[in-house]
Amino acid sequence: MALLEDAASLALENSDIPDVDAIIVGSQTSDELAKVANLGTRLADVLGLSGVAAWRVENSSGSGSALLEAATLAVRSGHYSNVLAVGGEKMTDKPTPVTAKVLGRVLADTEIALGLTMPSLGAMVARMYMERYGLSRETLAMVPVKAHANGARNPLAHFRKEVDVGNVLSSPMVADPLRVFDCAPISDGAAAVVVTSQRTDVEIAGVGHGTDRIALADRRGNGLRATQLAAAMAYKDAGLTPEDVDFAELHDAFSILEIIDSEDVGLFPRGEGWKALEAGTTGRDGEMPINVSGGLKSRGHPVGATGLAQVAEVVWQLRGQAEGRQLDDVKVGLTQNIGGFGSNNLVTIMRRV
Amino acid sequence: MSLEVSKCDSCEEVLAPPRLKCPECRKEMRMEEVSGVGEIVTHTTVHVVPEGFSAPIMVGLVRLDAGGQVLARSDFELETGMRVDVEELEDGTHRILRID
Ligand SMILES: [Zn+2]
Repeated sequence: MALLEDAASLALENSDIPDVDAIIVGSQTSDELAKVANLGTRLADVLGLSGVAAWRVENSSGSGSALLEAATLAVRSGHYSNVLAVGGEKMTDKPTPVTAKVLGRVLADTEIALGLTMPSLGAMVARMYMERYGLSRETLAMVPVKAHANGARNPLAHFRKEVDVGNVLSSPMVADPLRVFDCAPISDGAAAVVVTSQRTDVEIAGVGHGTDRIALADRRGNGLRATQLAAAMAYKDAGLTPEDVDFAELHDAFSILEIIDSEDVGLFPRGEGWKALEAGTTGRDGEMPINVSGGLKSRGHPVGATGLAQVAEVVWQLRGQAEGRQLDDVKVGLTQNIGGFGSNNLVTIMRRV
Repeated sequence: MSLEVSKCDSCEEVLAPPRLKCPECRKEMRMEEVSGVGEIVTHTTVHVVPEGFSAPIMVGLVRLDAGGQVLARSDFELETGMRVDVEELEDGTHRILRID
């Protein structure tokens, strides 16, 4: 609760909006990992906002973007004028095997029965991509290397230490070919955004949301269909195309996902996201910076907060407030947030106005 | 070995394990026994496993010749493209078998 309260208080302070008329809060599994429930009411109570509408959105690791979508639609409808959107997760109270098991409940029953966890599915997707498109293990390691280089500049990041390809390739194997440094950490954290009907300097230009079949074996086609559907919807909503995007925050819960996500949201052709990584295009000085915040890998992955943390990074970049990691002259930023193992994904596009 | 799968007459989808309704078009699916023979699409060896399981767990995604894909565990090292057979176990999970 303290994490949610801190993030919410900061967002309210920074917004010049003293009163909100609704609170939407998100967490994947606060009941189990943090032993706390009824988050909406609790938050209204501690923030001195008792009386306003408050509810919780749960969409596993996509909760942050899903609750921002709910807040955006609530404001667009005219029913509410100012909505406080808050997501958070307290994940380090339990031993890691317990946390991993609780997080794995988002998978299909057939996958859970085999003893599979999120990284196991990430590993199978990684191998498929590597064999199909010629991505090498060394190039894949450049994702966490880049994440840590970016995170080292972000005062809010979980890890602020640079690593090299050798560190990644010598870290313990989790699920072949993915190693510890290919996987986002277990983090505590929260993020908050105030969505208002008033004109401000940054607008939520487009939101998109899609699902796919829950079991990996039941899915068809390349990449994550849920992201592809969400991206198409968000671009249409915003009246923009991938060419308009200046930078992106993508859901790199596993290194391979950043590459697949970058293709799914249309920034690179299928099978060529890794070439852009290798060429430095997605680095902070490249043409299409991806995860300048450090991404899930380095900024951290408190599951219920992640989507909103991505949005907060984009807002700071668009406002020129990204201390130590500011990009030059950016106007349009995109976030992509995954729920489950890629089965319930969202894309949000923001624009400086 | 023979496996039970479900087929959709409307979109030709094949799912294993079988489902009552097609996730794509909501039509009722038809149950059918098919051969478990197919090809490894991808695979992994899991070294960090959840509580109640022992490492390592070898698992592969098999594209069945009869259509559809099934995720199954294996007692031997897998390779992409390997021809294998799949059997259904009593607990409803699947296991990959060698083909000579
Ligand atoms: Zn169908």
